[in-house]
Amino acid sequence: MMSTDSNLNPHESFKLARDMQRLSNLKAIPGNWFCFFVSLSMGLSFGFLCNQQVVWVFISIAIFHITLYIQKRKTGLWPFGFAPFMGQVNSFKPNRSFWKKMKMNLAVQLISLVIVLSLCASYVDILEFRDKGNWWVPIASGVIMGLAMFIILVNSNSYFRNKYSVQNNE
Amino acid sequence: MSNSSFDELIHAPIRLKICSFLSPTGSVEFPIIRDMLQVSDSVLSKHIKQLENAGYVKQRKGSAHGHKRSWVYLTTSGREAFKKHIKELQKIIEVSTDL
Repeated sequence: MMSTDSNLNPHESFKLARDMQRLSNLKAIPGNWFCFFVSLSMGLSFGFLCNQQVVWVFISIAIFHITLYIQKRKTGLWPFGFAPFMGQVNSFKPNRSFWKKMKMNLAVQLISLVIVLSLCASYVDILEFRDKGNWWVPIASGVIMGLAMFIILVNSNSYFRNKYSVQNNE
Repeated sequence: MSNSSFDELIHAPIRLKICSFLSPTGSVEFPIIRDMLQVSDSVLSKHIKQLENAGYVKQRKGSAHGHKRSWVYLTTSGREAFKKHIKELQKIIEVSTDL
């Protein structure tokens, strides 16, 4: 049998592993600057979409990709919730408590979906308003979208930060 | 400890930290693991090599912006072994608390 250089007892080893997983998850939670730029990208793209400026929509979407690239490069990890796969897992037994752990994610995604869909549903109305001379309507729509996204992202980040914070889980 | 789920290779603190840090992620760059574990390049390389020899981790080498980079990730068998090891640790803790 291979010799081990570990003097840790099972309790300490388990705690060490759990804390490292928490640190890994904490590192994947993006900062407020990330939330700001993602929201800015969403707000701008929706605002330009409402104003039928297609080129600017694509330029705004590019902000999202640049932000994601910078975050990945900075931390080496995909930002929480933006990984192109299932992403970070948060438990040694992900299957057993999967739904329990996913409830916050689902709630956040559902709220953002409702906001996005409600704004998209009013897209035709927005165009009509704009064409009647209310030039500020696309700007207002973009601001609402951006703000809603920012609030959702910041709140979900703070939820995950609390969840994985070692101090709060001791 | 003779139980097959208890993995002596993973149990060493630095290797346990490496596996735990990698387990929630896809792949992580070498310097990030080094900074997180606060160990030197050579120490980390040694431990990663041991895990690599056991088939638990793999390294992917590439270059970005003219610099050579190396990403480390847990293999399927590494994830399995890590999960089993943690399960075994939990069992041991449960038994010891029941006594």
